[in-house]
Amino acid sequence: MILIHDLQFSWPRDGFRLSIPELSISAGETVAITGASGCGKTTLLNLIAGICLPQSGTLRVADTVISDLPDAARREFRLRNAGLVFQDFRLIEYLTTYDNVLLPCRLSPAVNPTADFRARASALLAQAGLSAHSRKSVTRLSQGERQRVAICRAILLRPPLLLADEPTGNLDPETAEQILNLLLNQAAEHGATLVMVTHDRSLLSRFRRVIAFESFRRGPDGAGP
Amino acid sequence: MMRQALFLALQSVRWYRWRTLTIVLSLSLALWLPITVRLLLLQFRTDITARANFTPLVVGAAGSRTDLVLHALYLDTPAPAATTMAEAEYIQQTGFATAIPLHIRYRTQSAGGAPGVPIVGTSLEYFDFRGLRVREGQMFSVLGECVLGAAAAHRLGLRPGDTILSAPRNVLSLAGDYPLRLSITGVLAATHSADDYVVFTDSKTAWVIDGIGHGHQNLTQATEDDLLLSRDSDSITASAAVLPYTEITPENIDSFHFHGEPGTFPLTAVIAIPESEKSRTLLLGRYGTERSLTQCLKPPEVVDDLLRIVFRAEQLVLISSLVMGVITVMLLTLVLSLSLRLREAEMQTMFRLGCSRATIGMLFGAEIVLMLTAATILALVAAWLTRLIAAESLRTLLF
Repeated sequence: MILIHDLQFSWPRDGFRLSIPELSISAGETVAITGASGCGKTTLLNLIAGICLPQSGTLRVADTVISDLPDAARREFRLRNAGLVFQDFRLIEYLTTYDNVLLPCRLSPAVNPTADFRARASALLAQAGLSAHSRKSVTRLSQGERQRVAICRAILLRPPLLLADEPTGNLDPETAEQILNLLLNQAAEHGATLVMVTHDRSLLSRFRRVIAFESFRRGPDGAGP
Repeated sequence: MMRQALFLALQSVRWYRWRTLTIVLSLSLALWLPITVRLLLLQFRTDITARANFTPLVVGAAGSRTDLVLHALYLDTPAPAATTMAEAEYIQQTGFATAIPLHIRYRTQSAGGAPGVPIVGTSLEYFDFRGLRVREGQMFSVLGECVLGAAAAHRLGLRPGDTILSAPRNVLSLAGDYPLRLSITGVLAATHSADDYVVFTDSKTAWVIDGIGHGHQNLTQATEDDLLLSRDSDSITASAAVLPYTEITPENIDSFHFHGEPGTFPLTAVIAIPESEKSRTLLLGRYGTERSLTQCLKPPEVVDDLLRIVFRAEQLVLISSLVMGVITVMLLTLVLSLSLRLREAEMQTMFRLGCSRATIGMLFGAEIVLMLTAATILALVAAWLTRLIAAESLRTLLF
């Protein structure tokens, strides 16, 4: 699913530099990425999603070289292939729970909120135990409920890749466990690859693979996993 | 995509309702003022020019052109210097035009809690000329009778069979303009013009109010002594206790008489209705050469001069509105840019999910378009309502 070869990325302003000689993640694999704050975990997710572009090297996602795509195609690729889950949920406060889940359908002329997607949004909310809240504003939901809405949004278009950036970072352990279960279940159900950044060591055992990220930072000679 | 953008924009403006309401109201106010000023002035122009265009010529004493024309058109502006009945007779004698005398120097006393309205002394030709017809009752036919304009009747709460008193021009006047009780014989149909707001009577009745015509008790040897200053075999001298009648009744109407030559009786204006364009030109020529103490005016020209001044004032109002509008737009731009900054995270989220910056721009653009549309509709509706409400007040100002 994801193939990285000799990838170099830097933020010129603060001198941050990320170097990944080799990284390979298979389709359907669940991968946890750990590492100290500022080591580049979120940057890697952004690179995989095509939000940032590497200065050099190859980044192949779902058999597509992301860096070769023009802007519009990269956005389209991201919308269809990568479901993103953020630590701070990033829900749109003026939309209802249901409309937040449908949001990806409203952001691109290529995808429309058809009856199929509407039914799917309702079904996802039901699976996440949020049916009763579907017409409520997301501001009236608890933190855990909000993250579940964000996960439903990420998987609405059935992306083959789920990228989660510390999705349990703001949650209590019990809720964090529920959220991880939801992510893993959804990934398993759809055969999606899950790449999740986390600081929570108690969750690592749930992943098929754990990548300790320190090995990549400023490490032209650092070994890949 | 536009449909989706509008959906998201609608949700957003609903959610940020107070911000939206403030922006929409501010914009509406900024738009409402110039639109309303423009509409009201157009209404003013239409009202004033329609009546002027329908009034061929106005004749009166030399003096302010504007005062004379407005007086003859709207029947309630201060009376200009008086002319005389001789002017109306002169116009008739030329054979160029029909002369309609106007005598507007008095008002009625207040009635029904409403202030008095002007008393217009004129001839029956005026009613044909203005297309006025009696809605209730009948037209006045003898001295001391009057008909009311529709709005005047409504304001004063009077109807045929009632009476109304004229008000003396000066309470200190000892010379004669005593209040006269007028019998109301009819109420005119509404015309939404100045004619609705006045009381019409015959010119002669107006002269009676003026003190030129009056009726009083005949003095005879039998008259009681307290009404006389002296009595001898040849003559009887009345005292001030012999008052003129203050009401003209079938019993006393025969005693009414006028002192002086009819040609000297005062009028405040004369409306001249020429037989043809040629007659009009000839009459204007006569007034240009033979009648130096009077003037013959074309109301549309005078009104145009007046409107030029009014519309110069309008320009000032519109410029002020424009400046206010620019300030409003600048402030709203500031509010919107601050609002966008506060929504930076939302834009970032949309971008990360796969939305193009152009689409994000469209979403926020749709919000602005929605608010602009709402503000424009609100301003237009408010301007329309203001025009409806103010049209009557505007007429009151005019009439």
